[in-house]
Amino acid sequence: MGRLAVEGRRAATAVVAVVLVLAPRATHAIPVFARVYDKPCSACHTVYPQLNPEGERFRDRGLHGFTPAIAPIRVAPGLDVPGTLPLALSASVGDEIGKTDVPGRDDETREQINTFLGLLAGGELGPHLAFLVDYALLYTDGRTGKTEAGTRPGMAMVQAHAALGSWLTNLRAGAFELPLGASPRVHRLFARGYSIYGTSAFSLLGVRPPVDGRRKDTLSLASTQIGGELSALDDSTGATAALGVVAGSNNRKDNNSSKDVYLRLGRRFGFHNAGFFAYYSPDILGHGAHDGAARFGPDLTLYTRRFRLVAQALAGHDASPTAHGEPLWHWGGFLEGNLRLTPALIALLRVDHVGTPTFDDRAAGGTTRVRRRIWEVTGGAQYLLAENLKVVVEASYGNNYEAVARSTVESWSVTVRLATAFWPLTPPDLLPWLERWRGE
Amino acid sequence: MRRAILGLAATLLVALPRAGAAATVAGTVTVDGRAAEQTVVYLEGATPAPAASAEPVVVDQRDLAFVPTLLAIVRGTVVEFKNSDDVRHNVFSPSAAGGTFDLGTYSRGESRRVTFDEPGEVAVLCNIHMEMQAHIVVLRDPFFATTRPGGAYTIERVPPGTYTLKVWRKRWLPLERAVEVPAAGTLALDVEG
Repeated sequence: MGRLAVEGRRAATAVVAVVLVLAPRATHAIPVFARVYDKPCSACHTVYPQLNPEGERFRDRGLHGFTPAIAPIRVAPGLDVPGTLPLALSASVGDEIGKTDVPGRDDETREQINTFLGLLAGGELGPHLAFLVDYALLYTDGRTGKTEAGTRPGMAMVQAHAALGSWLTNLRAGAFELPLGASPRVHRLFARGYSIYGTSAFSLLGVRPPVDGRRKDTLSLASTQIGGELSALDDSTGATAALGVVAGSNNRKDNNSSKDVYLRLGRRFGFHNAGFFAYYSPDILGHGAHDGAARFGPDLTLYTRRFRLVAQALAGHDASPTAHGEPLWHWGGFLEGNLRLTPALIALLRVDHVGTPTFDDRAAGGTTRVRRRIWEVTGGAQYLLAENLKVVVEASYGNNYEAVARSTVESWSVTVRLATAFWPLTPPDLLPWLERWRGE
Repeated sequence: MRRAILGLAATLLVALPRAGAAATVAGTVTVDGRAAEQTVVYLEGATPAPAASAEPVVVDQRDLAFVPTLLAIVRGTVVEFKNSDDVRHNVFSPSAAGGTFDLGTYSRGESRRVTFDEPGEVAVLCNIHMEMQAHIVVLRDPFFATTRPGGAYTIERVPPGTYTLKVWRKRWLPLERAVEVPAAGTLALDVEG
């Protein structure tokens, strides 16, 4: 790593560290929704960013449902803007130590300081509209260890909401995450992402996509997607449905002409819920190579005051991931438990699995023969030092077995992180300022 | 046998309150030398307990907290759990005297009622907001008080007789002491734990 990169990372770490020290002291040092509605984080979160049932309800109501403590400013009939700057910052700094054991090679041990500084914005735009933005200003790239500036929003969407009889309906457009059994990114409690959401046929086969060559441009359910979604919740029965059309290139510039569709059907049972998710892409490659892909599977969430159990199973099918016409099936899922020992302390445990049957495209002219099994166990705890400042400790063990070559790669990692979300400035109340400006 | 019955009758006659006679029992509760707040001091005796108040006692839910967090009531009392918050709450108890309860999820301005018939300790929780906790102490007799700041308590209008003074405090072993309440005046009783 070059001297410039090291200095850049140190500077970014220093910025985030200063921000973390300054962050939690003021009563206004809480993110945008808590500030606008004058509520503690725990009104809608268990341990942030994970939502509690009331937070999920707020989301179901199109980011509406509470009375703003700071009155919005009416700019047109049916259209308001928040009465304060609807901004907040999220930041984390920490250390990650990882060790990878590859047969025939020396163990690879790495240690890197992880920094993250993000901008959050959101609020009501009148009784039926709302917006939400989550933008990473600075983050450490997990593969290179370098601190980089974000070039695309992690989430940026406008949402329209209406209650039609007992149905709460929402239409959203922009960049948003898919409605899976667990939030793949935005409200995920674990530092480590879900394997089944982040996996692709190419990562399982250990090959690069046959066109373009950039693995990260392929379909990943974990990434935010650009598109539109219509969703509805029947308040009387708990039935839920979401139907969406997305670009299929995650939050990047579209690299193919096809558009993807997904559907999630579910049912709430009190605070518990069950659902089934299906995603279809006519072609995830483009550029003349055709690889239709499908992902589908059930999910289940059981919730009590102290304990939450989340289970997701997904099967995947890629029609021709190596461009030789040989299809690949893969499957997997996770089982996750969150135990709240006290209101400020939560323990986490998760088991992830992804696997494939034997894939062999040699008869079709290819060179790939793979059968893979991946297991990961992740455990940890998070402790709230303040309602918007927490310590994260997480350890993970992964076992990646490729049965054709009989090769096993084992990996261990430990993450320790201090994370917060806050707004460092006393927010100006825009309404009096606007009135003064108008001379009223 | 006849002597035993006569003796019991005599004891009961002595123990029964004299009409109109009542005293005050007051004092301070300290734990490890410090004033004990959030503590219930109560008397149990042979006196038949009067009926519980017909008016419900309100436990509010305000700013993500139960108000009050400690409530002492006599058995048969109806408690109304009101929601004054902008967010919904789901009041339940895993350990209610006489059975568990779950009042479901309800919004601001709504309330749900529970009648507590059995003496005992009731933990009241919200299924959505883990930090919300309250305790209701359901008592057999109506002679009780919750300590004020400083640990002071006052139990008024106690008929004269022999009682057992008991103290309830969260995560504290029950404390008992036999007391003789006079016909009038104030019986000073400090409790140290």
